[in-house]
Amino acid sequence: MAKLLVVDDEANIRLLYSQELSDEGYQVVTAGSALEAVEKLESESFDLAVIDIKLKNESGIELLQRIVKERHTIPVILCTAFSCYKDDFSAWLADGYVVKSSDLQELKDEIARVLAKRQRLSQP
Amino acid sequence: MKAVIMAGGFGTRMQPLTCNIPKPMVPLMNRPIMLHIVELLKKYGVTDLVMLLYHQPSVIKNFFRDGADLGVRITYVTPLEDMGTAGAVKCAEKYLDERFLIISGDLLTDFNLQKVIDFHEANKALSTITLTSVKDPLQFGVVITDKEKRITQFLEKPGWGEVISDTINTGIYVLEPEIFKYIPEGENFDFSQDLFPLLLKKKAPLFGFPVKGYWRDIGNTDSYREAHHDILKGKVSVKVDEPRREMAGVDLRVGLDVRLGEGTVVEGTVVVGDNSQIQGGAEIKDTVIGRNCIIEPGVKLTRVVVWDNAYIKKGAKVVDCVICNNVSVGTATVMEEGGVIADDTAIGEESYIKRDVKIWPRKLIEAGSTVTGNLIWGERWKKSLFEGEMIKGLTNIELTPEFVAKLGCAYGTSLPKGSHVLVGRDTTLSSRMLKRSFLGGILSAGVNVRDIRMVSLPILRYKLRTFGEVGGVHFRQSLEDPATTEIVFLDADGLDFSSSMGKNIERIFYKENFRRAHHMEPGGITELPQVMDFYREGFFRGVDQQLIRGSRPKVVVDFNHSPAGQILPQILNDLGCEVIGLNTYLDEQRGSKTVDEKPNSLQQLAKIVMTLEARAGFWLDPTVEEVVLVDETGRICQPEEFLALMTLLMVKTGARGAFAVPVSAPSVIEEIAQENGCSVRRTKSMDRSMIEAAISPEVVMAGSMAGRFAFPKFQAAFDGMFTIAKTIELSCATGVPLSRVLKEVPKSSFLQGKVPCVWEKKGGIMRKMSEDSLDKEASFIDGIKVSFGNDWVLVLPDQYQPVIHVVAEAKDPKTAQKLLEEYMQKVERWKKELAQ
Repeated sequence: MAKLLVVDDEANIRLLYSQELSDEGYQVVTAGSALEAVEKLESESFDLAVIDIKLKNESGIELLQRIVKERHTIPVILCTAFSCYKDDFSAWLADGYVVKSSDLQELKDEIARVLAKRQRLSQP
Repeated sequence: MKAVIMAGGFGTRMQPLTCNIPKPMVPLMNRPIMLHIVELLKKYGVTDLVMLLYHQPSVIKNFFRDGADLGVRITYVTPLEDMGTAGAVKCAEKYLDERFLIISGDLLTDFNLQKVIDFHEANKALSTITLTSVKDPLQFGVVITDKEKRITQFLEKPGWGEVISDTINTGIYVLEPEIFKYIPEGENFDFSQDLFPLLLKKKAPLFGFPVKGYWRDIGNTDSYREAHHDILKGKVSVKVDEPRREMAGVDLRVGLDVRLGEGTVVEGTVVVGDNSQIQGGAEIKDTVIGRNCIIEPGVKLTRVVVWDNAYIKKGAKVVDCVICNNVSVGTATVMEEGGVIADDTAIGEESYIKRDVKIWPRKLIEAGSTVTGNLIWGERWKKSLFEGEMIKGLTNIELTPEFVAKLGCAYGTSLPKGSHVLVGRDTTLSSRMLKRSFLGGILSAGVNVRDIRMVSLPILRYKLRTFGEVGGVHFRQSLEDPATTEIVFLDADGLDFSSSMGKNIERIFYKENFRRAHHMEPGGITELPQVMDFYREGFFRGVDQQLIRGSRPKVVVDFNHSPAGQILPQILNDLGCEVIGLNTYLDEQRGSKTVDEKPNSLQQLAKIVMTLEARAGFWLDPTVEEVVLVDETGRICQPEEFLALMTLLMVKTGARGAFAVPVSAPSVIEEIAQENGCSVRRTKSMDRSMIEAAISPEVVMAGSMAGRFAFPKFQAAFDGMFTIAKTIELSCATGVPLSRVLKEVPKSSFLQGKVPCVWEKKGGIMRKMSEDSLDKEASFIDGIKVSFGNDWVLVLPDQYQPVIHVVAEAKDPKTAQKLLEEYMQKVERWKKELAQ
């Protein structure tokens, strides 16, 4: 069972993602801020992180950069209400980019794609 | 009564039939077209002939000679320059002192010429033009006459709006010698354009006489095939040399010494020239076969014109095509309607020649090929487009803009509609030209393009690792041949295309099964100007910046005019390096350096490194993937030494994990790795195999035997720019000169050799090698590697060249040499055995 870290500053979103992704068979851990996410990343291991770009006063992209620098083996999917960040080169460090929508299928598909890719690539 | 036969045309529209012979000599029912004209003239008592030649006159003269064999008298006139039709006749003025008839040497007609001559005489005409009615008068000269058949108007190649008659000029004229008064000497003068309008203006007696009968201008290859169809259907009667053989329900004409095998099925009208063989079980319908041809069993020919010395092998199926002299058609080949195979071409077995494809002379079509387009310039049509991850071919000869646009259509079709692909190129104008054609093809399939323009391959790969694009394509010039363009295809992860991905595109390309976007939904082109910044950021994260800054190393880099010259000098400067850049400027006209220039460039680089007392020198290849290292003493490292050095530097500076190297790499890599608690993963020699291994999280470095390195912490792809920075960083970290580290590399002797070997024998050689290795310790990852304790030898067939590689490594040079020679001799011996 793949273990996911969902980072979003909105509690309802965290709840929604947590339930939906758990129903998909994932083990889901949530964090409400970049700091909380870093703490969890230091204490637990994850297979994938889903990060909102706008985290109150923090930037999801900075968190992404930190993960890439310190734990480059964890794939990251950026999840945002804005499509404009697709053109921001800092966002290109991510493995996936999903524009938030009421239909969570795109996010689920992207998680499945990135995990499958990672699994395929890690096979000797 | 004399006649002038116009036989000077180049036959450009008849190519490739006329590549080797002038148009009037193209065979029609196994006889030159012009011979039918001579016979028509003779039939109406015109035996004093003037032949007006221009293009390849000797071919015509050698055939007709003085005409005595044919019962006519021939005078040849060859103007020295193109004088136009009437101007050329003027050159023959001295032979034309009585009424004469003019006719083209490339017509098929059964007109009653006597009626034209009689009409001319009865009307006391100066000039009579023979007219006929055709369904489509657009491509001819329309002629309008009054009730007395006097010509009142000419319309040369009219548009439909101008067509007021279907009566056209057939190119057959009866003229009086006085006509020469109207033709200026030494000037380009045309009958239709100049002479007849002049006569009209001068109100000279100019008549047009309509004639009923068969008339066809054999002006192009379609018309040529149709002329045969008409003869075979009996629409027009022409003389056939081969005598009729009695066979119920079939019009069979067979020449001397023809063999018709048992079970041959013949239908309709079939002509077989002297000394040809049709072997049992062939099916021949409405077909003309020339002399000295061999048609093997099971061949099906329907409405085919075969010239001389053709060899059509078992099971080939040909419909409505022309096969010229000295052509071989491979077993089970299929040729669709409208094909023309010109002289001296060999088509390999099981090939598929699509509809209307024309193949110019002296081509080689590889077995199993599907030929979809006309083959004019290149020498061969390859069975498969892809060579590994790339398509390569001669720029503007094999890879033409139209070919590449079609390739773009095929690639776009293989991708989801509305998806994005990343496209870049090297510095050359050729790459830019072909890339632009390719983009048009992609867009037509409804796929979007992100054009990052002039960029090195590693940067393109780096962007592809992120989201947003489903694939990438890079255009560059080949290092081996500057006239060759390489199109490198990458998947969504920036990895080289696998063979199955290439096959998918080939299938679409050959079937022309393209997806065409709705006119409102073609793809769009955008640019990604931030790609360089993105790459630069990642680059800085991948190296120990502080360490390098602290050492302030001086290095020399030969950038080879590659796109790396735009970005790497600044990166190295920002890292605190003192960089002496050679060949940093871009040169679109000149392109990159070739392989031949490499040794000189390396010598110069070595000299500069020593003179400037630099820490190292780096030669970066134009693809920005391969690096040659020169140490601080000016010593140029061999690729296998560089690989061992990098492994040693990595372990010395604390790297722990696995090293991915090809089977052919020296075993000292294992020695170095294992002594330091690391492991080695042996891979196939293909770049993709090494990179696939590099993606695995525990791999810290992948290195090829050609100076290519990938450092997965930055990117799992060969990157010459990062290799340079990483080498500098590792060198700073050890704190000792590179030459001293090189001395620590365990010594062994490593030798490589090549044995030329044709493709067909490669499998046999490897079978013999595996039999030879039965009682030895052998591995079969890539080729066959046999170990003798710490020494080993590898026999590896090259994937793209007709070559077998032999690699040997041993502790002492003598043993390595002995192993290499022994196995090269074995391969040579097996080659001979396989030939028997």
